[in-house]
Amino acid sequence: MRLRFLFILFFLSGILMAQDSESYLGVVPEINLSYKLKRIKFNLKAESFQLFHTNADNPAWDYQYEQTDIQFFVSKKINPFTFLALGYQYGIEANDNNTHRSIQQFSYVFKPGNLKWGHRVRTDQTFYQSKAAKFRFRYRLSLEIPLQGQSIDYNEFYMVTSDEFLYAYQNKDQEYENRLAMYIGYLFENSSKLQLGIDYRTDFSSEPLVHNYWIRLGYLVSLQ
Amino acid sequence: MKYLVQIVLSLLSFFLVVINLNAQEKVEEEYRVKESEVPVQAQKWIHGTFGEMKGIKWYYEKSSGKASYEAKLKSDRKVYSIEFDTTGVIEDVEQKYEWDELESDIKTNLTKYFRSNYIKYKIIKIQKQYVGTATDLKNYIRQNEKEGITVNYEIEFHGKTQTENELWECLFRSNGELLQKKKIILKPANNLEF
Repeated sequence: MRLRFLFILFFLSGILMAQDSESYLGVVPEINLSYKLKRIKFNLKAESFQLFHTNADNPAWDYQYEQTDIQFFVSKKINPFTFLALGYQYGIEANDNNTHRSIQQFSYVFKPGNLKWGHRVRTDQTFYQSKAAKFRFRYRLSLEIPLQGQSIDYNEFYMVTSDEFLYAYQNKDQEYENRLAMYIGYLFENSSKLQLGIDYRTDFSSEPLVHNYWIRLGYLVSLQ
Repeated sequence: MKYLVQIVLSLLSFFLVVINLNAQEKVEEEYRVKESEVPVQAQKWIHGTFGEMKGIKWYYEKSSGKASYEAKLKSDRKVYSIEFDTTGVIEDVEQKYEWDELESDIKTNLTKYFRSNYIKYKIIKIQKQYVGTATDLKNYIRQNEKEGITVNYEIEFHGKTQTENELWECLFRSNGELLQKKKIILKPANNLEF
């Protein structure tokens, strides 16, 4: 029941797609490695955006490399639920205009019952070679739902759904974006996770509206 | 450009393979089972005590090599979890409580323990644990007869000491004496944190 409701909600959001809008479909493989050293955690993440379909001017299936992001974070555990992190991202863009990004984040992960909730507040600054820097503020709420039993144990499936709101400021321009995501995941005995799902992004500030559908496949590894 | 991406991705995947060979951990299991898969003795105890009720959730659990069956149910606005061994013999009954519902004696004793052992603490979950024979436990739930029943308190809390800041699960006797202390290890939540 819970599952069905979330799926309906997710697909209803697709109805938002008005006639005068652009939509893109792509694939994002992602790997995420975490290494924990007492209260400090190091996180290395790589994700690569590959576009496969567009309905912009003339709808077509066409492969196009979009960008690859490599991120590195140092995160400090404040208490069992709260984490503060500083990060750096190197963005490898299609046109060789590579970017640098500094990231600051606050995460709060808690499990009041069977469901695990995560709040993430992030600020980031992206520096371009030939454009003004972009400043963003983002908030994400995520929910991890066990699909077998009361908690997610090893060798079990789970579901993660999240929604993120982003506000960006660049050279006096303001942008708003929403990212709704839903993944099915599997937790392996070695604490690694495999996740497959859709990350649906709506860019509200572009004219016409832009909808991006990213099919994501992520592999997350945790070392204690 | 493309080569750079390829090199980075291949290095990362090599790193993943190496890591996977080294990271083994203790396996804990817990999953939903149908009532028909539970030992008959356990089913009989539940229905003999609570009647022919619906909405009972059964789980099979295995932790630190010990297996058990657990029934979760709500009766008279109270939340119960009842544990049986693999042959269906009852082990204990746990009932969820709020701090304000506890008797003042135990509250005083617990507060004394927390204040003297932790700089900062926050209680997350309180369960009263009732231990006794199958008949005594049945009589306790049905008629509130306390004979033969031992009451313990299982408390989940966040506690900060000089060196540690963790989640704990402690079991106390009704006089406040600590019987057992376990650190709760949370599964990694990198997908929610990053």
